[in-house]
Amino acid sequence: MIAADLLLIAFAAFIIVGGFLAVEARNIFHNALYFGLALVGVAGIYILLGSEFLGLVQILVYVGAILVAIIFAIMITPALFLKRSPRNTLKQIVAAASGFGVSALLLFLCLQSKPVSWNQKISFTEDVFSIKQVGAMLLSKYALPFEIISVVLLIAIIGALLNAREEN
Amino acid sequence: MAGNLTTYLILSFFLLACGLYGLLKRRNLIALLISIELILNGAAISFLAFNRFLFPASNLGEVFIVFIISLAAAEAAIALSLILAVHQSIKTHNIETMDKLKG
Repeated sequence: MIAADLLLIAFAAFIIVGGFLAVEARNIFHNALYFGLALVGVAGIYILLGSEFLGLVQILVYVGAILVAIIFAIMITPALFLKRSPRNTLKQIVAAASGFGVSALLLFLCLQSKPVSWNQKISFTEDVFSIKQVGAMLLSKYALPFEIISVVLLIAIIGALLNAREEN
Repeated sequence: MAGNLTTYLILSFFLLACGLYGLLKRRNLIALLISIELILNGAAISFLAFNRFLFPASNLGEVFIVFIISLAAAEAAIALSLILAVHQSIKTHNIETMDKLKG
């Protein structure tokens, strides 16, 4: 097989194992670690699809900031040491049926059209570093969502600080 | 296999399935947050796959994934601060005990 197939199989294995065990493991810290594995697999898929900027941003922001914040919350609140409630088997079966059933139905609807393969006729004449193109788009055509995202992040920071304050 | 759109759609829908399953099954608050982030990642993969296979000359999918990642970071920050605030008054993580509107 060619190298792209091998890389796809490796990153798909990361995503499948990490994604399934992130919701199936009993210890909350193991959930967070398997979630990190799934995020690294998703970053690999981004690089395989041709956008190396997004793969690195994914590792920086998702693994480096969001996953670390989740692990902080696991460490600060004693979530690891609380006793576990007994399992509800009916709830587990209904959750699995609805989760995988809805997703299988959507996938079946998506695959009704004819299969699409990679278009070999697009020739990259100019330089195709994705960070340059994404930066140009963010500052010229999508400048308004870019500025609004900054305001949203500012409000999120202020809200998070106000929320976690102790009541005096 | 790597040059086919179906593979990436299967991966994206698998992440959606795992996220939905975890969101309905788990009772721990942090596990619910992890499931929501899995759903967001699945959607982001499908954005980039459709961008690369159906509209190769554009890069709107990449720009949109930047927005998805930023919004996921903001939402995770607020969700974690809420988890900390809830834990200060109710000393548990089980979402089934939080059935009163006033802490």
